Amino acid sequence: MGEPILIVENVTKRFGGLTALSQVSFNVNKGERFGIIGPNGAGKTTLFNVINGVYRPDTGRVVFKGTDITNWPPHRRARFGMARTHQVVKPFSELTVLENAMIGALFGPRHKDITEEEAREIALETLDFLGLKEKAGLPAGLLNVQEKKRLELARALSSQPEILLLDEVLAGLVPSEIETMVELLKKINEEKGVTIVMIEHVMHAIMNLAERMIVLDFGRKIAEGSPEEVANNPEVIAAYLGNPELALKFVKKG
Amino acid sequence: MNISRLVSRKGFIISTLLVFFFLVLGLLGSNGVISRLYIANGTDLMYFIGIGLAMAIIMSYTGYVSFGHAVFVGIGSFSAAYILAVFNKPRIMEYMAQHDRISNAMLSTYFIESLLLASIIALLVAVGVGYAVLRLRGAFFAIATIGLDYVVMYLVIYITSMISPFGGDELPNPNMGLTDMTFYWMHFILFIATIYTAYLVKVSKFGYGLASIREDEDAAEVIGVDTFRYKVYAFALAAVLASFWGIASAFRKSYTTHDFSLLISIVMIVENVVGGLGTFIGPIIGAVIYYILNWLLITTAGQLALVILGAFVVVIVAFFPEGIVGLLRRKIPSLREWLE
Repeated sequence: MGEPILIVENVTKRFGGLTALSQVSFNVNKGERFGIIGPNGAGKTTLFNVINGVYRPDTGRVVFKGTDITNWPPHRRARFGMARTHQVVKPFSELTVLENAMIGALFGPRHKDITEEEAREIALETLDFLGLKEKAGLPAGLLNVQEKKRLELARALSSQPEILLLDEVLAGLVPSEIETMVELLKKINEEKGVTIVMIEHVMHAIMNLAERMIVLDFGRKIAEGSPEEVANNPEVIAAYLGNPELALKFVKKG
Repeated sequence: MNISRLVSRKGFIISTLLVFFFLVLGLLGSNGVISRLYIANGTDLMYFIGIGLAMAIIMSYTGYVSFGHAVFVGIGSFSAAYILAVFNKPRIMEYMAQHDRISNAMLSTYFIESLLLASIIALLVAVGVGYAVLRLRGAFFAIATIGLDYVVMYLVIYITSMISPFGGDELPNPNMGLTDMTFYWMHFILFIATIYTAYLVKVSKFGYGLASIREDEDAAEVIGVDTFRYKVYAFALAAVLASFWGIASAFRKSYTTHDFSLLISIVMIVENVVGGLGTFIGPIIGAVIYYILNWLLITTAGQLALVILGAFVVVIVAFFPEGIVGLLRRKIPSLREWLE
């Protein structure tokens, strides 16, 4: 098991009277594929927002590459090697697909010394890798949902991050597209050595993809371990009992 | 950015053609080949393109509508007025007593002094105000800038009531004996500065950052754009450029208070909206259309001119919200490269 690249320690986040996250702690190791699952409203996206700086936690800290980044704004984290995709895609619609990816490269960890030419090269390479090269000249707003999802990923990946936070990249895709995307994510992790943390609802995909995972329920971490361990955890099954079908799936797959 | 790539782009070619056009017009004017009317129109047109492009940096490129942007035009006007009618009044009076116009050396000195003073004030106000209000988004930012316009305008009127530059017969001859051609070339210098600055901003890394803010500010921040700092920079640059045009207007018209008018802000906004947001060419085309329409209507429809112009803007916003350039870009994709 490798060195921890990301440490989340005792993170609590409240919105008014609602505790969205309560004392959540976990480590992600370098090069790992790490999953975050849980029923709707469990606090998964809030957790991402705390990790990448959109929200400051009320208590606890976030340590990335050995540096406490709890109070850093998001752009600084991006420059430090953290990239993220959004559950609801946020393309720069009026800009071309290539420009979208270039912006990722221009403002990422290499923002200080990268030239526009290099950014273009990296962007094209990433688009090629994700099968978007033919669309490079199109305005991003004209892409279909699946292509927008891949663009979201391309933009994040063009920054050449060390860690990639993926918020439901598989949601809204048809089964064949999911299969392609899962293969892509594996390639990103294995070939480019990028650590991946992913929130996912498509259970068979994340069970197959993640090496370790945590389960959130009502803002609390209720389980941590390999997909098998998690799937057989009685508390996890209970959390999903609101959806018996899903609970059943868990047990089967495990 | 690579120089050869920079100059081969269509935006650069269009900028240079425009500069060349105004150069030729000016040369024809100084040789008396064309009448003063053309020179006056050319001067106005440069002014309208200039203020449109100044606004474009914050509005069209970054997506923040500065409704009070006239405040910076006003700051420019008043800087020029103070340089001329307060700080250098005795010297101008003395010189004008013996000559029919101020010397070129004096003119360029006062011009440069005005540019420096206006830049400093515009920069301080824009950065100060930017820090306070650029945390606001959309309509809230726009409203805050209207407040700013009124605050600064009344502040200036208050100060002016005590010193009164250009308030009455402050200078023996407010034009200082300068001709239309002098004002034309003054505008020309500012035109070159403004159009290339706007172009460079648009195609630079800074411009990409601003575009990402306009398209989705949250995504821009998450991707590594220091959104707040970029917005302050864009606002400050838009402010300094606007103040330059206030200087040109003050030298030429010898009166200053109307440069704070909300109407000037609205003209700047209309030019951007009509031309189309998000492009470099948009505000230029918007300014040309606005200027031609305004001129045609004022000469033919008189008082009704503003009514018709207003209706025209409503039609554009209602039916072609992406503006004329946006419409062309969508309808004729092959023109995209030219309409960057």
